[in-house]
Amino acid sequence: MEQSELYEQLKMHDRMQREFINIAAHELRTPIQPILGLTQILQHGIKDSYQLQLMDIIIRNAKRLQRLTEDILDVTKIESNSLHLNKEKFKMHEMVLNSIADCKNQLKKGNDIKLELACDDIFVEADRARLNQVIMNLLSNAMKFNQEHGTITIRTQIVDNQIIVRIKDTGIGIDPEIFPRLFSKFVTKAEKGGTGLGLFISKAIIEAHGGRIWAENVSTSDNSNERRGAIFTFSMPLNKEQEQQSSLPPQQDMGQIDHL
Amino acid sequence: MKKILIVDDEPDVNLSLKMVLEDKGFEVDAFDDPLVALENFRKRYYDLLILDIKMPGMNGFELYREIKKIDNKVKVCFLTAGEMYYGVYTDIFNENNQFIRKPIENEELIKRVNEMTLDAS
Repeated sequence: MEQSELYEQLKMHDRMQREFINIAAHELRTPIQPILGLTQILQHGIKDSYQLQLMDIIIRNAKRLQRLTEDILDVTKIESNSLHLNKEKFKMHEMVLNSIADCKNQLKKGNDIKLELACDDIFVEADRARLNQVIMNLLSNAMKFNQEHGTITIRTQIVDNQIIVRIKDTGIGIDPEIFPRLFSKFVTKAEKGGTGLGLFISKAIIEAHGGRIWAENVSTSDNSNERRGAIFTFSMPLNKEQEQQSSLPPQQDMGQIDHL
Repeated sequence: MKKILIVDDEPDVNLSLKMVLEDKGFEVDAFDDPLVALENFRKRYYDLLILDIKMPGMNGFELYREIKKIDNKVKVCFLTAGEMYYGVYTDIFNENNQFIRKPIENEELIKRVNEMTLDAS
């Protein structure tokens, strides 16, 4: 077989595979609607705590299936360069607070979230749903890897016409062997599970916004090998107008949320 | 009471959306056959239509085109599990119609439907 013919066949195979994933993922979304919708209706009528607990498990797993379906679709979009952004202007801090509220049920007992916000609020022009997805991914990871009585600190800053968002946890830190592959597909920590798609998708979303995302371990004062948590940071360019709206007044707003 | 017409070829989706909205005081008719829904539309007034896009026989956009021949001011919202067909139905996309992505949380569905029927009596 000619090399060019082989190349064409591979391209066709790749396209067919993506089409199949697209169709399968779309078809998976439909049954999730009645599962989630009807379970939530039933949940409202239940008073027995054991039955409520069972309902919670069904809902949690239906949402997990939903998330997985969306992640698979996102990966095919990223790999076929068809991740489109629907940009709009919105307040960054408002969105961060909404994201925290959305994943508060994943927060381990005794953990808190601390906010270190740069100023009153930062106007950004970005894809709100996609940015929310990145923050949810980073927060979910921080909550998953944090230890008991740990803290998750979310900081926003404006530096050199860039908005910088940093999410720091006090968990087990990142395994040095994983570092080079951290933002690749299917990288997971065996004992914690997950699909390992969240960081890959987050990186693609941030880069599509012209920004970058990186990770580091919290350094210890004694320079030992002990890891005391991980820091995930992303930066995105602000346009001039956004910068002017956001940088005044430059006050420090330190809030702490203990009971989310 | 605000009246909603839901058309989705999946009976279970119809049932779940109908129950969620009825629970919040909306009057809901739901059909899994677009042609039966169209016949019903000739006889009744609705404040909002919620139409699935991908349906056998007649898709949601085609159904909407037929409905507009009867009432061209009716409010519509399309349900989608991903398929959009931008190129073929540019007239519908140019109208700035609302889209709801399946699956949608009950709370979000109620919020969206309330917003879309704000000016209905």
